[in-house]
Order: sequence, then C-alpha cells, then structure tokens
Amino acid sequence: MKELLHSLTTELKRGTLTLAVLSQLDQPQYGYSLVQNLEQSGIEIEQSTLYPLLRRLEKQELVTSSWDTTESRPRKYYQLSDYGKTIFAALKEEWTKMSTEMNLLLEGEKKNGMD
Amino acid sequence: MEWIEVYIHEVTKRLPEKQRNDIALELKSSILDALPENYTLDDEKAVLADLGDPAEIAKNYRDAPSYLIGPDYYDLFMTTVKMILQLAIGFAIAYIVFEGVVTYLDSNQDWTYIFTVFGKGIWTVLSTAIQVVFWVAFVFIIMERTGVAPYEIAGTGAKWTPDDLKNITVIPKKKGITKVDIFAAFLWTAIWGSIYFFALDIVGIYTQNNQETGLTLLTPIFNQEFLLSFWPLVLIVLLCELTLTVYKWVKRQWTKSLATINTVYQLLYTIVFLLIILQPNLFHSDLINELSQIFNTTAANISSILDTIIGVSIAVTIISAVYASYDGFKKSKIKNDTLL
Repeated sequence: MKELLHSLTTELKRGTLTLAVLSQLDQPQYGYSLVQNLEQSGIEIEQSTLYPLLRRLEKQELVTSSWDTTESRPRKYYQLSDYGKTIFAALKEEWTKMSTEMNLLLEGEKKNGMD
Repeated sequence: MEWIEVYIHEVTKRLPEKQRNDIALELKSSILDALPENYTLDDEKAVLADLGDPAEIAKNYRDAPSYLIGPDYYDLFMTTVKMILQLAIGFAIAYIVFEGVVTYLDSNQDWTYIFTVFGKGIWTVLSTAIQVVFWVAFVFIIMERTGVAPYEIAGTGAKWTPDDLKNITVIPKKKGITKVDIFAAFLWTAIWGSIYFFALDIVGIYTQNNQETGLTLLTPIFNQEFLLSFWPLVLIVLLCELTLTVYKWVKRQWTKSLATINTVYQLLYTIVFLLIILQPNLFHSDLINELSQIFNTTAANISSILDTIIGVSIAVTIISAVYASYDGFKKSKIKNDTLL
C-alpha cells in the first residue's frame, strides 16, 4: 500500500512541476538556486528531474538561458520568455480553476462522509 | 574533483555528442553550487548521492523516447505481428510439407524421414517467426521515431464516433472461413502440386514382392512426360489456388468478391482439368497391358473401363466446381449479424 501511495503521489506531483518551476523564473535563476527556492516553499524536486526539465522548457521556448561568467564560476541562468509568460499566466489560471474545483469536490466528499 | 568529473562523464557518455559539452558544464556548475566552501570528499559524495544514478539523469536529459514501440503503436504492432505471423507460418508449414513430400518421393527415404521433416519444420517455423517479429518491429520503430500517428495509417483515418459501433459485426458460422479450412487448402495445394511436379512417375500400379522392400512398381498410371508438358497451365492453376487461399485468409468470410474470384478459379481449374484429361495419351503406355493381365481380361475391356473412369471424373469435377461456385455465392449472401 505504501508503494502504491508513493507512486500515486509522484504522479500527482509530476503534473505540477512545470508550473512550480515556471513560477520561479520571473527573475533569472540558475539550477541550484531554483532547487533551494522550491525546497524553501516546500516543493521537493529531484535535481535529476529539474535540470533536464529546464532544458526541455528552453527547447519549448518557454524560457531563455544565458551563461553568466562574471562570478567566480560560470552559471547558466534561466528566465521566462515572453511566450513563457503568456503560457505561465494561462497555466496559472487553469491551476486556480482546477484547485477550486478540486477543493469543492473534496470538501463535498468530506461532508458526505460525515453524514 | 575527480569524483565529480567521473560522475559527469557517466552522465554525458549516454547523451548525444552535440549536447555533451553544454550539459557537462551546467551539471558541473550545479554540483559546485551545491557544495560548501572547502568541501571534503564526503561532501562531494553526498551531493552526488543527491543527484542520483547517472543513468537516470541521462535518461531524463534524452529527448528521444527510451522505448522502441510506445503505447500509441503497441496495439497496432501486436495486431500486425499476429496477422503476419499466421500468414508466414502458414506458408512456412506449406513449404516444409511440400518440400518434405517431394524429397520423400524423389529419394528412397524410409518412413523415419518424417522426423527429419518435423525437426526441420520446427526450425523453419521458429526462424520465420523471428524474422517476422524482427522486421515488423523494425518498421514500427521507424514509425515511432518519425512520428506517423497510428490513425493516419489505419485504413479510414477517421476519428472514432459512437456510430462506428454499428459497423461491428459478427461473422455467422456458415459464412466464416476457419483457419482449419485455410490450412487444409494450403496442404491440399502442396500435396497435389508436389505430386504433379515431382512424383507422377511413382503414382502407379504396385505389386507385392517377396523381398523385404515390399512393393515393386509394375507401371506408372500416367504418362509423366506428356502430362508435364502442361506445366505452365498447371502452374497458373496452382498460383491461382494459392492466391485464392490467401484471399480467403485475409477476408475470413465469404464475400461477393471472394465468391466471384472463387468462380473464376473453379472455371479455370475445370478447363485445365478437361484439357488435360481429354488427351488420348494421358495414361502410361504399359498401363492397359498390365491391368488386363492383372484382371485377366482383354485390353478393350480395360480401355472402356478407363473411359468410364474418365467420364465419371469429368462429371464429378464439373459438378463439384459448379457446386463450389454456387456455395460461395450462397454463403456470401448470408448477412453479418450486427450487434446494434
């Protein structure tokens, strides 16, 4: 049961990862800072998932990247593109709608359960 | 530092060359970011442990699917493989039977030869199956990678609607063509084909002899040389018969087009049969002599008996051809049962 729960939870989270990452990329971020930011917000994302995900977002033209070589070691920074901003706004709206609906649904179930 | 380099190499070696440098740089920078200042080997190991299996992270980086045939194609792949497997194995078995019969009749093998044929049969069927699965998979892997959507190649190409359910029919038993029918048809073609082309000379009158070998050929029945002069016609009939059987196999039920093709085949078959059987030197020159000796009667008697046999064969052939044609059409008219 524990295993099933784990796999279901992973599946549930997977869909929200893109949204979570996009939400942090208003300002330029590099890989590890993003991990820390997300972790602080309580969202755990494997680094082995995040770094490839960033590249994929770049390929989909949702984010742009640039190497910053001014500091002690070079870092690759990612930031939302204009297209990415539009998509993020739409996704966010979708999320708000969905979570409201889900909450209603789950609340309803709770009430029914108490009857 | 070495540990990090080896780790990064483990990741990038699994990636396309073009991406390697960039990913290596980025990974290295991320790993160094995660390390404290003046880190120790243990720190390095901890960070690497956090990143996890290099194979896993490389898999996430790869764009190409990490499967050969994905869920979109799986169903189509399985149906295609099954269909082609049946056909190919059917042909393989027909070929083995054909070849077995020919070799058996051609060279004086004893009955244990059947085991040789059987063993060879298993091997041929196995290797045919492997070939089929390989090549079908090969085509599908290419389709998977080139991104042809399955519905684009699936016949109609139209999207599914509930009305499609009305087209689902069940083939009534009488209308259907079973696999046993198909197999029997292939076997029949293989047998008569091999006898005609390779073994007419041993279809004959035999007598028991006193030695252990058992039987001695008194005389072949047919005039082999003469009959074989018809081989192009016979070959055409044989190929038509094979085509008809394959067509039946694909259709799996009697349809109007199948019944029409069947009629054309029956006609062709009958014409060729008549053409051959009505020839005066159909029989082996020794046949009448040998038969009159065996039955202790005159050559004239035997010849008239043979004429009767020919007459009966002609009648039977014509009647069965007409019946088979009629039966095909009759079966094709049976309506398929719809479920809705």
